[in-house]
Amino acid sequence: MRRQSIKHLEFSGIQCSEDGKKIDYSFASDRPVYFEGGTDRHTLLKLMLGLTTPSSGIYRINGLAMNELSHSEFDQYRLNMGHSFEAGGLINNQTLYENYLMLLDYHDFLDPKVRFHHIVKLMELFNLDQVKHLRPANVTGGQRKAASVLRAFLLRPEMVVLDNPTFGLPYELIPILVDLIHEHQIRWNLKHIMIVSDDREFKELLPGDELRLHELSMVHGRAA
Amino acid sequence: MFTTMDGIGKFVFDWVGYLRDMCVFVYLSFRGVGQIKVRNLKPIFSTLISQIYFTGVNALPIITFMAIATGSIIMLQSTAQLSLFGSEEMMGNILIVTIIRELGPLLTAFTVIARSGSAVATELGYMQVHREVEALRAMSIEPMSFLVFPRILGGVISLICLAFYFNIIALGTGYIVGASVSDLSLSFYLETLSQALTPQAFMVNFIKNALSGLLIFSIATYHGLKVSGAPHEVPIASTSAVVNSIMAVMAFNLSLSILTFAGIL
Repeated sequence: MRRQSIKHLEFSGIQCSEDGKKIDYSFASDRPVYFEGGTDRHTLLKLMLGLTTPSSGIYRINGLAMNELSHSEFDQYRLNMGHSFEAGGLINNQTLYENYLMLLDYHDFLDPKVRFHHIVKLMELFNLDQVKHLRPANVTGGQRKAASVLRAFLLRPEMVVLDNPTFGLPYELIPILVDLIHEHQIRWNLKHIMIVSDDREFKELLPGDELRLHELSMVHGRAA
Repeated sequence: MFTTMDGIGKFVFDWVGYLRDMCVFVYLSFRGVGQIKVRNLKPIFSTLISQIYFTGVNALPIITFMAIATGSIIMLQSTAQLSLFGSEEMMGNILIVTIIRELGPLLTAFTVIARSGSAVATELGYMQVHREVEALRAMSIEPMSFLVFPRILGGVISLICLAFYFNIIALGTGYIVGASVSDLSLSFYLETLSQALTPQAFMVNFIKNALSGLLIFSIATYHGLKVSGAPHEVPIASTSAVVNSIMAVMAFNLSLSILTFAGIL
C-alpha cells in the first residue's frame, strides 16, 4: 500500500474535555506540539491516529474528514504515522527484533536485504541490540519502553504521536531521543510531532508549542 | 408457559445472532488476507506455522494416548458382542462407523478445544488487555488478517491431520488388541476394514474435521478479541470459547450424522 504524505492536520469542533469544551485548531507549524491540560489529551492522540472517532466535530487530514474515509483509505495516512503509547503495545509473543521486522515485512518497507541493518542500527541508539532476541517480558521495563518509543520511528514517518515518551525511559536515553527526532526532521521529513508529556526537562530539550486544551489556546514558543 | 416460550425464543435468537456474527467474523478475516500482497504474507505465514506446531504437533502425545485407548475399548467391546452372534465380519463396519465417522472426529475436536481453543482465546484476550491489538491497528496491520486468519487456517489443517493420525493409531491398536484376545488375523481385519471403508466415510470424516476446526478457532478468536480491556474478562472469554465450541461441534456432528443416516450424505 502506498502511503500518503501528511501535509495538513486540523481539528474542527473536537471535544477535548469532559465539560464539553470544543477546540478548533489548524496544525501548521513544524514545531512539536504538546497537548496540555484537559482530561482527554490521551484520547486526542488516539484520534489523530484514527483509532477512535470524535464524539463531535471533525478531524481533517489534508482537508479530508477522517470519519468519511474507509479503513483502507485512512491506512494510507496511518502508514506515515508512528506512535508510542504509555502501555507500550509490543507484541509479547515475539522478540524485540521480530516486533520490528514484522512491521517492515508486513508493509514491505525497504529492501529485504537492508531490513536487518536498519533495525540493528536503530536499536543500537537505545542499547537494545544486545537484547533484540529476547521477548518483551524478558527485558527490563526501561528496555521495553525504549523499544516501544523507538518503534515509532521505524518506518521514517512524517508524523509521530508520543504519549509520555520519557515515562519509564532510562534517563540517559532522553537526549538521544531528542537527537533522533531532530535527525528525522532533517533527513526523513518528520513534520508533525504530537506529544503528551509532563516531563519539564524533556520539554526544555525539545521545545515546542503548547496546545492548552483546558484554555482552548495555543502558546507558541518554549513550553513552560 | 409464556416465560418458557420466551426463554426458548430468546435462546434461538441469541444463537442465530451469534452464528451470524461468527460468519461475518470469519469472512472479514479471510477478506483481509485477500487484500495483502503475496510478498507481505511472511508474518502471517509464520503465525500459521506456529499455530500448526502448537495445535498439531504438540497434541500428538495426548492424541496418541486417546487413540490407543479408544481403539482398545472399541475392539474389546465389539469382539465380545459380535462373537455372541457369530457376526465377526461386521467388525470392520463397527470400527469405521465409530472411529472414522463418529468418535475420531469428536474426541480429536474435544482435545483441540481443551488445549488450543482455550489457549487461543486467552492469548488474544491478553493481547487486548495489553493494548497489543490496538498497537497493530495503529501500525496499519489489520488484526483480523494478522491474528485471526492464520489461527483459523492453522487450526483447520491441524485438526484434519490430527484426526487422520487418530484414525491410524486407533485402527492399528484395534488390531493389536483384537489379535491378543481372539484369533483375529491381519488379513481378515484388513478385509473387513476395506469392505466398510467407503469414499463416503472419508468424506464425512474430512468434512467433520475441517468444519469442526473452523468452528473451534472461529469461536476461540472471536471470544478472545471480544475482551474489552479488563483482565478479569480473559478467563470468562476462555470459558465461553470452550463451552460454545463444545456445543457447536456437538451440534454440527449430530447434524451431519443425521444427514448420513438419512442417506442425504
